Amino acid sequence: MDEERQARIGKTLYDAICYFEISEDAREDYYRIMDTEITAHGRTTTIREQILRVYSMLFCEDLGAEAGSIAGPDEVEATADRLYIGKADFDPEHWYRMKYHFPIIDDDNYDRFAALVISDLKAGPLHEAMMEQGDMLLVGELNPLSMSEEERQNQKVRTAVL
Amino acid sequence: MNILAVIKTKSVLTELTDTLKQAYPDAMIMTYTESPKALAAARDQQIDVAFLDEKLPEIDGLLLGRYLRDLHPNINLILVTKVRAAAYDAMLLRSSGCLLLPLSKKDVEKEMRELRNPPGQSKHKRVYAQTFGNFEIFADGVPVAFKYTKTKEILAILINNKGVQTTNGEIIACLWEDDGDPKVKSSYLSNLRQDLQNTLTTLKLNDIIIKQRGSMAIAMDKIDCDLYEWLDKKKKSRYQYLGDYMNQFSWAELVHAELDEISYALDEA
Repeated sequence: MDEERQARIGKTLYDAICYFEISEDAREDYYRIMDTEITAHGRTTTIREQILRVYSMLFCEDLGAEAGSIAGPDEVEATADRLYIGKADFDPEHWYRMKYHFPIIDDDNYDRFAALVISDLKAGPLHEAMMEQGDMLLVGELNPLSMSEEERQNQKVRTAVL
Repeated sequence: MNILAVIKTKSVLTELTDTLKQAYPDAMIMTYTESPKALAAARDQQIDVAFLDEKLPEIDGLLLGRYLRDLHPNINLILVTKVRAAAYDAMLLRSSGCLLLPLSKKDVEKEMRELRNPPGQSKHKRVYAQTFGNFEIFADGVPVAFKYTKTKEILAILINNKGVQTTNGEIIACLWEDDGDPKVKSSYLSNLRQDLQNTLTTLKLNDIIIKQRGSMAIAMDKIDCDLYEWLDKKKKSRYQYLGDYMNQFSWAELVHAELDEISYALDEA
């Protein structure tokens, strides 16, 4: 079953999210994949819940998220700003949420943002960049917009690996 | 009117703020010397006008302008710069205007008088909601098509609630009354909300909904609506309530009594 889950959270899901706003077919693909039931560790869950669990594990630990918990809108919104590609900058090339145009993250799209990050890490350009150029998804500290410029420059940054 | 000023040099920021305060004493003016903090503030607050220093560190004025426009499509961006050539970049950004440093009070006031999208003065509203008879929602004169019929009903609920934030629970109660498993309904509502968001995004009408965590409201000033006009102008309205209101929705029957009462009062007046 793990293989089934791995296969579904892949390029098709990544592409569906990239074209979500302009294609009805992409939206259909997205909902179909996210609502798919799977069995993981002996329990029935959905791809959506599984993705939100992985997102929580990777990016919400210092928010006090418990192991195995599912990230909700608050957690995803609170952590979206801290994700960068290759370098912790706020331009659309490096700032993950802006590269994929998520100016607002709320109840209606938090799961889509989480699915984008996880599917990108697994099978999207981020995965390819990691393999070919060594560009990693970087995880900075929480609330970077509220820091001073000096704090931002000195923040601790780690890499995210699935 | 909400004005955001993001200028690196404090003396220039103070000068600009003083000019704006004198000319627009009722405006809320937010000032920042760092663009990331300004962006964070703009996520929580409607911004009508933004004065942006072209040479801001980390997120420069042009990039900040792009990010602000994503948040507030009708924002008026005014680039503040030392070089005339930057006016070209300001134009590419579809800015409202451009100011050359050193600032002059006259130029600031002129830019404010000639805003590209004057706040609260839009004569033409793209959305019309018909509530008398059957409910229908039109964008640029064409009925809006949603993927699910219940998405249109959500919009009807928000319009019926006249700008009041309506929680997901209240929407579920209206849509399904006490029918079915709330957890399943919650998941269905999530799809409906995404359908609403997708449709409005495609039509570039995101600003008609004001969203908060777990609730939504209609932005009454962004739409034309027969009900709102009738309640506002009464007998002088182009629209008159004749006993039919959102006929296709059962929950709307509860509103009839209230509307009937208003109508009788008007007839007696």
